[in-house]
Amino acid sequence: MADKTSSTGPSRPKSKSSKKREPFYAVSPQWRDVTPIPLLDGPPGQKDPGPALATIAYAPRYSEAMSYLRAVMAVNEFSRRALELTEDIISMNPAHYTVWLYRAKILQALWAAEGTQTEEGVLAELEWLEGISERNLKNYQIWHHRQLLVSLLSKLPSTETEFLAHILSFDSKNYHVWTYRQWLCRRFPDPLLTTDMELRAVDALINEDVRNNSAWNHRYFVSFGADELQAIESQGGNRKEILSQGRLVVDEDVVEREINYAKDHIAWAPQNPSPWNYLKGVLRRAAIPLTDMQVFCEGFVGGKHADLMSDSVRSSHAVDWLAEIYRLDGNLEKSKSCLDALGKKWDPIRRKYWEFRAKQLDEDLGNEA
Amino acid sequence: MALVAGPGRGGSHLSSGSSPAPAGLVIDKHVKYIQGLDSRKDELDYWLTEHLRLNGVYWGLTALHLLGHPDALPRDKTLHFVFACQNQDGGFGAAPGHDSHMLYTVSAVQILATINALPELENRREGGKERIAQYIASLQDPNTGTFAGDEWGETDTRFLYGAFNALSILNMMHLVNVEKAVSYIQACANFDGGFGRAPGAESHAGQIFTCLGALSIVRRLDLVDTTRLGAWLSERQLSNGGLNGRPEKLVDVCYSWWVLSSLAMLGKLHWINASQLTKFILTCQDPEHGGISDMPGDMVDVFHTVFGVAGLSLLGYPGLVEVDPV
Repeated sequence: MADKTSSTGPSRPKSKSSKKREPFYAVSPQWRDVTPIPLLDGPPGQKDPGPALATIAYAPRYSEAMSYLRAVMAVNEFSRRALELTEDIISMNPAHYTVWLYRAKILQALWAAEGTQTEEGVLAELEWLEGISERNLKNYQIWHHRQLLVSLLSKLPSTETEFLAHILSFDSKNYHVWTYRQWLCRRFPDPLLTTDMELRAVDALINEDVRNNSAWNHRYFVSFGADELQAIESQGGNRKEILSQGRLVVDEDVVEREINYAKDHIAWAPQNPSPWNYLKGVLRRAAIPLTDMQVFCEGFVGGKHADLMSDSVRSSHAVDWLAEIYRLDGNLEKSKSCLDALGKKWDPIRRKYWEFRAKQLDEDLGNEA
Repeated sequence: MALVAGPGRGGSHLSSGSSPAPAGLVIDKHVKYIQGLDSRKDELDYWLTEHLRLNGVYWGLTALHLLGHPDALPRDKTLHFVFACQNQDGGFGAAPGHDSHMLYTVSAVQILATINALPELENRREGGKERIAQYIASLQDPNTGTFAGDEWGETDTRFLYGAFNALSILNMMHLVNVEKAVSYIQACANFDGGFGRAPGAESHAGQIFTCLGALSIVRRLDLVDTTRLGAWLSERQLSNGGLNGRPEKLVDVCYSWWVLSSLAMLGKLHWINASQLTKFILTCQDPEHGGISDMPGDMVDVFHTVFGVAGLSLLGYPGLVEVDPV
């Protein structure tokens, strides 16, 4: 067991470029008692230390560190030096999932052994994690590690929302970050959902990039989705069932607010699919018929009697909606001219899909006759 | 199988301006490219991607089968490697000495099935199949019905699909609660008709594939609003012929598989423009060194190679073995 307790001591491995080729652990007094276990790239028992790696600048350091990791993991060593070793390996290869799991185990063992308060330990680890997260935006493990840490806390760390805004400034559609963010909202609904904290945060992101579909999805989650999920979990049903049976009360003020929000943003960029999808979702949730949107949609094609093949059309989504609205109203001819315009002019790459919709209309006609 | 990137770039011939785009898929070059991957142990990427190696074997092997060269990798070596990745708990890690994880366990089962080695599981050790199946079943969350990736509990509809896929291959579906898992998938349905990684998470073509694949394995596609989801999926095709995974994102060859196979499961494959997509995938291949990249101009890798080839196979590209969308 290592006796060093400082994680910032002089012995901490640093990947200074000039020293990359030199062994670090093999010459460290702190690691003298450990026999490294080299990688066996074949079945266990086969004596093959792997190919020579000397031709690469960085690989010897990495493979040396890994051989010490195997050695400490083999005896479940939960020590400061093992923690430093995980940091060294993560800095070289943060996608190595096993090393993250081992690190989490070490942390919890060390906190218990050293009498560190969980909150104190978590916050220190989160601070360390921030730099790594910035450099590795596409990495799953980092977010899972963060979730594991934050789940140990009893209230929302004050820096967390600021951190999320910062990370999303690098890649505002990062799936891992959004998944984590939803988890965080459900873990700490107070204050994230009980106040307008999340709503304001997501509004800022949509205003920055109105085409950010991830932000629209999150807006739905904040306004309606979180309640839906709670109902699904507590009633053991599924979303479709719960919505169709009207078991979930909607706040009409919220519905109105969100319909207006979506409409405003459609007007801003009429060809952007995200607010159209969002609006449809809100209408469904509130059981408002699509036909209520007729005038709104006609505003994007040049009016009720516009030529749908002309440049008065500003949004193919509006034409798509009108096709459905006219169908629901029984105006099948008008519906068909919308679908024709879509297949021929506005969205020819999906011609087969629009033809399918038109064929459905013919079936409607057949049923009427 | 190593996941070393390059050396070639997709569509490298386009920028050089020397020759026009090749007429078709360079099958022999792709086979050679995949065979060569494991001889590149002197490259750093080989070692940094150790945590994905078993997946890589599956992707390479599948690509070779689709390309009509199933024997291009030595069977005994492949088997050796797969079994070396198995741990005491019955699961498989990404490489020898790595912890067990759902993704690698599924890859292992798929590899064994692909090279007809499932009987060898029992020959090596009685109850060999069940041992793996029990590991997978142990990762189901009894409360929600979904699956974790490992003992640490990260959940994702990818793991749920993986579990169903492997268990159905092993003929061990009875070990898990199918009904609960199915209702979990339904909870992942979103307001736009798509599915995400977990309930509430943004619709994403890859996650839609996993949800539809899982429903398809247990014959519950009847739960899906086919027209609505098919429309969302077909909207993924952009004017350059390629497909993206979410609205307003860039195209990427791997979605040729996730989107196409999903549409195929819904019976709506014809809703995208096949000739334009074929053209797009072919501009991502390196016609000289083999391999396919995510988009023209990027480095090729085995992941995008298998999904590009699988996409072409679904589109009925001549000379390829037909692929099952699930």
